[in-house]
Amino acid sequence: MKTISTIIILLISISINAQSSYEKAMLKGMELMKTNPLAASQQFERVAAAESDQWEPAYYVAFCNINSSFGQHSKDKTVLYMKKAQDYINDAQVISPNNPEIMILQGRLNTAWITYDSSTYGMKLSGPTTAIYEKAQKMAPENPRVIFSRAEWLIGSARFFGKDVTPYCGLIDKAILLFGKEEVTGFTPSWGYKNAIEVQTNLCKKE
Amino acid sequence: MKTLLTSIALLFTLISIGQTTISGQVLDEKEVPVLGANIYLQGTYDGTTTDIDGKFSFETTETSYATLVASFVGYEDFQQQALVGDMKGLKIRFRESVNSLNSVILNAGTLSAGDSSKASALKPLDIVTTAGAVGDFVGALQTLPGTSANPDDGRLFVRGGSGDETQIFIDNNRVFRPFLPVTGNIPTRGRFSPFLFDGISFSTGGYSAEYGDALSSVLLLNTTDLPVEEKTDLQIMSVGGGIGNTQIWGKNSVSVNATYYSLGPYNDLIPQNNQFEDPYELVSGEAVYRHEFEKGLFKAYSAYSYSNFSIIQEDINVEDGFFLGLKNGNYYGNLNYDGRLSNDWSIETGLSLAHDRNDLRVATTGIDTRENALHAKIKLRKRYNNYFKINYGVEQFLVNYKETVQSSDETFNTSTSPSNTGAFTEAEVFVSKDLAFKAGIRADYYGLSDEFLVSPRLSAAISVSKNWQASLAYGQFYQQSQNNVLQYDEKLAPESAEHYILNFLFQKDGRMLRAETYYKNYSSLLTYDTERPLFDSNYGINGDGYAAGFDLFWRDETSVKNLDYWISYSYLDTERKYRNFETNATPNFASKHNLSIVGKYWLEDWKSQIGLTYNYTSGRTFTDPNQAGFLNDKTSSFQSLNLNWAYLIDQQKIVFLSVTNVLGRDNVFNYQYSNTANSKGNFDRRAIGQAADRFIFVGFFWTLGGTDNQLDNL
Repeated sequence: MKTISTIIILLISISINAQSSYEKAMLKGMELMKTNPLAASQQFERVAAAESDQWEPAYYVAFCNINSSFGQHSKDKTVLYMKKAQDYINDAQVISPNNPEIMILQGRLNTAWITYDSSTYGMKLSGPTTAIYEKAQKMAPENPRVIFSRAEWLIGSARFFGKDVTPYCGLIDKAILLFGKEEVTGFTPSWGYKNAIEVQTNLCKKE
Repeated sequence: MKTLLTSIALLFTLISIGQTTISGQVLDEKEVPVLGANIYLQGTYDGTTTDIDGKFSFETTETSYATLVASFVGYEDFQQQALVGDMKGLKIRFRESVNSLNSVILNAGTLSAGDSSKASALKPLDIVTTAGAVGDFVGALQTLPGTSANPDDGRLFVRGGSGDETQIFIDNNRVFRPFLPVTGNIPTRGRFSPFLFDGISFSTGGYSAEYGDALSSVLLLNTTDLPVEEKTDLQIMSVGGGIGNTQIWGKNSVSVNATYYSLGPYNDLIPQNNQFEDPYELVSGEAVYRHEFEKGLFKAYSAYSYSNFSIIQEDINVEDGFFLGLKNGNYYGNLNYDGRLSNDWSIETGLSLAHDRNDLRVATTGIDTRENALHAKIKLRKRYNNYFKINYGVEQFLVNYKETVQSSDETFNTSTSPSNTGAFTEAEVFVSKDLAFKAGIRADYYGLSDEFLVSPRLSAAISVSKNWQASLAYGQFYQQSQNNVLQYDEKLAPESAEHYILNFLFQKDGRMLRAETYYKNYSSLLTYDTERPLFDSNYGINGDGYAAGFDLFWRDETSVKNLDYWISYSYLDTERKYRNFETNATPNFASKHNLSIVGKYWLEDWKSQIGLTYNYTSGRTFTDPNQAGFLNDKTSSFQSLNLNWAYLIDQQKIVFLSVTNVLGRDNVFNYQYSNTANSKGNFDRRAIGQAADRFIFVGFFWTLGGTDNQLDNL
């Protein structure tokens, strides 16, 4: 009996140990995201390669690469970043299907493609992107990132068609409120608050 | 117990054992250090990023053997297995990855529309937004180099080839009757909705060994893979209406659409040059079902169309003209599966079936044709790496064609059942990203003529400088005669053509210049000795001919903000002796100069796109019996200025207005001469011109999202 409990305790401690090295690696990635997105992406790639049952590492690889896809790099490079992001979104989706967090990442990647070449991808991707946000909204109506990303997309479309954006500012306010209440657990995505404030200040400021 | 403890102790020692440092440097092919490469041991978190000198160093607790991985965007992954202790002072040499963006493209002869290739001459939307194309998927292609505009016909005439010499494929399955049959000089259009396709590749010669039984050109259309949005589309047009719907459930989706055209009300408003008895009417429906498997995608496509019209055909020899009526019913369907078999092998299978019934009435004679056709194909693709890929495939075509000619007192029945078995293999080799080859060979067995024919296909591309590349293509091509001829002489061997193509491509920042020159050698062309192919004609394959020329294509999307334009010019020198030609001559459908200028301007404030297309085609040959010789004269040039205006009301609603031949130029394509001379000894003639001086199209397109309705928000 004693032996068995020793083994069990030992196994647990080993697994805790393993868990914590995963956490350590992820934390390192999160830290790097603040200063060096490329190194962060690579850190997450390493973790993703080692942990085939966790969706978060792949999610963050995609996230970092999408953030590198909004015009800071040459056109050729940008495409490579976007393709890489797509690969990792696909990986994350296999591990965690129907995850609203991953769905909105796909929405953001589509926006990157549209920004990259609107005449090729504008019509092709705008419908699908709307559909993704609507689906995510249905699945997670209280997720601030879902509310924010969808609102940002709707604001973008409204601006393109020269329409008033104020109807969506309520959504941004709601997202900000929910961001404030959000409790972050583990490595689930928690970004968005700053972006929402930015959109609010730049596009929704009342005169 | 003791053993267990020992092993646990051992385990701990292993974990707490000293760390090993791994170090080295990453360089690219030109010995330049690579900054920012990702270096790590596979299966661990141990790794780092290279510094500005391409150097790296990190510690690991791993011992014994491990796999070191080095990767970076734009390069091939590098892997090395070694003892961790030996991984010191490593020299890693990166190889630039070959991808569609940075490598040369094997594009001699090919013009593609879509985003799959960087050398896209057209974008998917151009198919519907090019002025003058009026939503016909072939319309926009007529503005590309290599085509001779035949606005009185509407099909694709490529580099001196007739309209029959272009074959059309949907998802790599042959479409047997892609065009709606018309007569009386009403231009035909493709049967299929342009909105169904997201990739179009148009080859004007030198195409892959995968495609056989086409002398001049292939047009490859790919249907959209997976729709992600449920929606309903409504179209209200000046000539009819349409409705479409997409449903998605789980891994399945279905898209259906139905269209009805009637030119009746339109003809009442706008004068037509043809005298219609029954106005042109078309009912068509399409359905696509898709199912996503874990490793592949299944698509089933079905289309049915029925068209009907009749006119009083003008004729110089018949005073009041004669009745000409045409009813056509056509079913086309294909089943497709594309999937991965393993990491390196993938499979593509397709089966297409077609049924076409055509009831033509000319005065008192009825000509009814029935055609059933099948195409089955399997293709395997092995990808060794990014540098080397091979395709293998086999395919079978079976056709059954029946014709019944019924005059007042007699009935003639004829039929034919041509078949064609093909097998092909093709290898694609990238020596580097600057040099690539494709070599293929195709073998065809034609059942009726018992001919076994082998056609080699070769192409190569080399990068000349950063923005320039040159490519070459050669190929041997065969095509069997049309069914209406085969029914009278089944032993006719296929016609043949050889293509030689040299292409230069310049690309920089949204500008593209494509220059291509070619020589095409025709042999074994069909010949006969009567005015039309008849049951008692003497048939042979004694014809030959050539086509030579060059094409220029310039597209610029960046120089002027919001303006996208292209200019395409083709020079064609061709002569052939075929059919019932007396001598070598330039056929009526081949014009020496073809010029198209297409411009699209986006008016931000008006949310409108204004489009303009100008076409110029030099005169076409015809035979004037008042002079000596055959095809001895030329018509005046064809010119047409087309305008369109697309107004986006919002994301879901578009109004579209298009006017073809705004200036109303009276273009003449050919002349029909009287069979008998008039009192002065001259033969009178009748000009064969356009079906109408102008064509005006107004449409309203409305998409209703199936998801949470966007309109509520706007």
